[in-house]
Formats: sequence, C-alpha cells, structure tokens
Amino acid sequence: MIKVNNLEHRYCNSQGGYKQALKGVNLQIKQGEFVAVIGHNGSGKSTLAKHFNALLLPFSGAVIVNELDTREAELLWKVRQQVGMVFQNPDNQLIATIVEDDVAFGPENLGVEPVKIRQLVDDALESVGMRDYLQKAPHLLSGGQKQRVAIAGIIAMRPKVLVLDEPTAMLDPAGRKEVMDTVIKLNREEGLTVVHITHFMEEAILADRVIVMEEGAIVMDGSPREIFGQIKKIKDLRLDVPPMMELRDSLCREGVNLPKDILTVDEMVVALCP
Amino acid sequence: MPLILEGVNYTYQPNSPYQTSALRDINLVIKEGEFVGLIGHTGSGKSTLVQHLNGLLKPTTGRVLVDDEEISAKGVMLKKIRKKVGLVFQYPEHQLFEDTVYKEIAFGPKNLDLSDEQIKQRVKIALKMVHLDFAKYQAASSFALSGGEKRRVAIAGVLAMEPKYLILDEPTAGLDPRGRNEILEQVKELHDGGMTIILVSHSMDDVARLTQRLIVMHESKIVFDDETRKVFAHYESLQKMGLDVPTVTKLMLRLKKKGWPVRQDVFTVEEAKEEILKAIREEKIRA
Repeated sequence: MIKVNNLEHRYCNSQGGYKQALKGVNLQIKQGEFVAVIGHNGSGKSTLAKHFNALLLPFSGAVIVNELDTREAELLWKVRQQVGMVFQNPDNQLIATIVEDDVAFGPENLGVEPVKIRQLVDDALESVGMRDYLQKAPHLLSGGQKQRVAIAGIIAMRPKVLVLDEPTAMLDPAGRKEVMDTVIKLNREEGLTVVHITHFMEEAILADRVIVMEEGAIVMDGSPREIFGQIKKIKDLRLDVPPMMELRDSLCREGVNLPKDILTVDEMVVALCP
Repeated sequence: MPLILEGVNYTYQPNSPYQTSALRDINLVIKEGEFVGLIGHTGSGKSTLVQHLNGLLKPTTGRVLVDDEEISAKGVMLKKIRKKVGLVFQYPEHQLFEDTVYKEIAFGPKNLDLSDEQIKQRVKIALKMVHLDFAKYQAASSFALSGGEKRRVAIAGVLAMEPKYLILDEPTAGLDPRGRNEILEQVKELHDGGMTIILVSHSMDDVARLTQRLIVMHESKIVFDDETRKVFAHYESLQKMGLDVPTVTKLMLRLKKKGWPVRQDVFTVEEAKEEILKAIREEKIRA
C-alpha cells in the first residue's frame, strides 16, 4: 500500500543551513496493516507520516502510495484522497459549525454528488459511533468525540490509509479509549490500513506491527512482542516498557518460568494461573 | 500553615440557563510539605478546585484560607497569595510570550520590586531547578525549544516566584516518555527540597509512584481523600467513575480473585515481583 524508498528529508533554517530529519528510510506498509510508530520528539515520526499524503515531499528517495508517486504534482489530490491524516489537537481540525457539515467538507471538495455526500456522511459518522451527533456543534463535544468526528471527516472520503499523529495526546483516559476502540474497529472490521503515531506504549501494543524511530531512521521494526521483548534496547532508547513485560522479565530472572511474550494483564494472569 | 478549603461551593454562570455547579461542599486541608495527587474524570471539577487555591476563582459560598489568611476577604492582596501559591496550567508553554528564556522567567520576579541582581539570581535558580543550563538557555528564544524544554521554561517561570505551594495541572500531557520522566523527576526533587506539591493527573501510574495522599473528585465532589495506597483499594468504585488503577495493581487484584495470597496495594513492578515470588514460594511450601 505504501512504499518508502531511501527517503531523505531536510528542513532548511533561516541561516541557509539544514536539519536532516530523515536519513534514508526504507519501509513497506501492506494493505490492512495496523502499524504503530513510536520514538522521541524530533525522531522523525511526524516528518515521515507527512510524506504519506504529500504534505511533505522527499528531498531524495520516493514515497509510492497505492502505485502513485507523491512527487508527481498532478497526482496530489488523488494521493490525499487515499491517505487521510488526523492530528493531535482536536480543536484545530474541525471547521464547520455543526458535525455533519464538518464531515461533508471532504467529499464536497472531491466534487461528490449531494445525494451521495449524505450517504457518505451518515456512514462515516456511523462507523465512529457519532451518528447521534449529526446536528451538534463541535465545540460542545468532548475531546474524544471531536477526534472521532475528525476521523469521520477522513473516512467520508473513503481513503485507503488513515494516518494518526498522536491523536490521543491531549485526551483523558476515557477519550483515549474511545479513539483507540474506533481506530481498531476501522482496521479490523473495515480493513482500513492504519498508521498510528503515539507516545503511549499501551496503544502501541494494540498494533500488528511497531516501528521505532530514532534520529531520523527506523531502528526497530517488528511485532509488539518482538519489540517490547527487547527490554534493554527499549530502555536504552529511553522509551517506556509495558509494565507486564518488565514484570515478566524480572520474575524470569528470579527463576520463575514464564512464556516469552506477555504484554497484557490478561496474559500475565493466564501465565501465572494456568 | 496549611491551605484550607471550608465548605466551598462554586457555580459557573449562576442565575442563568447555563448555571452549572462545579464544586459542591468541598472541605480540604493541605499541609505544608505534602505531595498530594488530584485525579478525576474530565469535568469532575479538578481544575475549578485548583483555581480556588490561588484566588483565580472565588467561592460562591464557603472560605479559602492560605496560611490562615482568607483570600476572598476584602482588602486581601491577591498578589501576595499568588506569590505563595504557584499554579502551572495545562500546556503552560502556550503562555510563553517573551523572546528569550531569560526575559520569560524574569517576568514574574520583575513585578516584585527586586533588584536586577536579585532577578538574575532567581532566574538562575529556577533554571537549575528544571535542569536547564543558564549559560546555554538564557539567551535562547523560547519558541525555538523542544516541547519538553518549553514546558520546563514555563514551569521555571512559576518557580522564579519562589512559591511555597506548587500546583501542576497535568504537567506531562502531550510529552514523549523522556519528557514525561524528566518533568516528574524534577517535581519529585522540588518536593524533596521542601515544597508542597499538588499534582493533577490522568496517569494513575504517576500518582501511585509519586504521591502519598490522593484526592479523587467525581461530579463536583471529593469522593476519596486518603493515603494513595488506600484509595486504589477502591478499585471498583474508581472504575465506575471512569478512572483506572495502576496496571500492576490490576494484576494483583486479578490474582487475588484467583485465590493467590497477594497484597492488593501494590503499584510498582518491583513490589509486584516480590509479592508474586512470596506467593509462589508459600504455595510450594504448602505443596
């Protein structure tokens, strides 16, 4: 679905110098995958994600989305229709005065017939569980609800890929759960490819695949169990290790026999009380 | 001398159709040197409560006392109160406005009739408290810093007022793991240095690790106010309020249900390891 070949990106500064934000990234994301991207601020996560829908263009290398090369200017709108992005701050993304207008904004700009727009909007709000809020004003919604409306605005354009850049960073635990449940449902039930950037390890363990970035490069890439199983490496990168993995590790060192891949409380309970 | 809230009620937009009661009958004493966690679902009244502690909001009924001084009484110098009670808002970096880090942090002290040398000392100390090097950062633009650094500069701006009480409203929201850990370590150091801290947080793991006392708000009321360990024992009521308990505590509760002889008031991986090992050994002895 997305192919990234030797991608480099530079941000220029006012003194004529530049900062190398991506140093030759190679990556393939398959259709229907749920990929979490973790890493520190400044590691290049967002820069990479913004290449997926041509918000940024490669300095060198290429990004191919569903056979479309993002560098070709005439393909721009096609690319953007296929890859939708949701950002961190829910208040910066909603523009209309009522929810349904906001969700309709995308399809309207794609020139969809009005009758079809109605259908797209209803379907999109249904799939994020916000159908009852059609006529509500966005500023009266909770953070989690706003993010779900923002996601609906993307879904209404029937994209192939949903890219979320820290969509839960500003939400409370309940809002975070709402958004994650929605994202998981869209991925599992509707087959949407998801790229989810996050600082919360408990969200990363929900993905099929975790990519760790550091200083503009991909330093780890594998299933959550493979990645978080390497406790020392994760700690050296100063990322958090999910508590159950850490517990498993310290129990094993005391001679308790436990399976290698325990990520959640449920799995730990099963392992300890077979 | 403590911070006291006595029978405090607060109503937003009273006598209008939008009238909302945000605090109901709040009674609270926070003693010097305490490290108190404040948790609650969004809209439970946490932020309204902390804004009463330095006089940003005044109670509709009831009294607020800072070091025995009633802050809503007539003729009270709120400036003095705000010097004593430092409040760090959510996303404090949104409030940065000066063009250098030095000016940013000096802004508060400048309003205190201090000499230039005294102001400089305060900026130096405040930067040190948040582990930013004075020489490296003083002339830097606040806006060219990373998210975590900006937040530390904003916190330093409050610390430069040398508050006795420091209230932080979700100081780690939106930061990466490294930034989160740095801020929390620094808050802990401030407490070790004698400052009274009130930490508003959504992270149960953080309050469990850091605080001795935990206040839980729900629907404008205080529902729990006790030692942190004891509060987390009310696992089911907390979940009903849309709150959680630390991950490790969840595990212990589940093991207990399965008949394991483990304590429930366990928050850290280290403690959990000890409890589980103890349980396994006891089981073996019995077998």
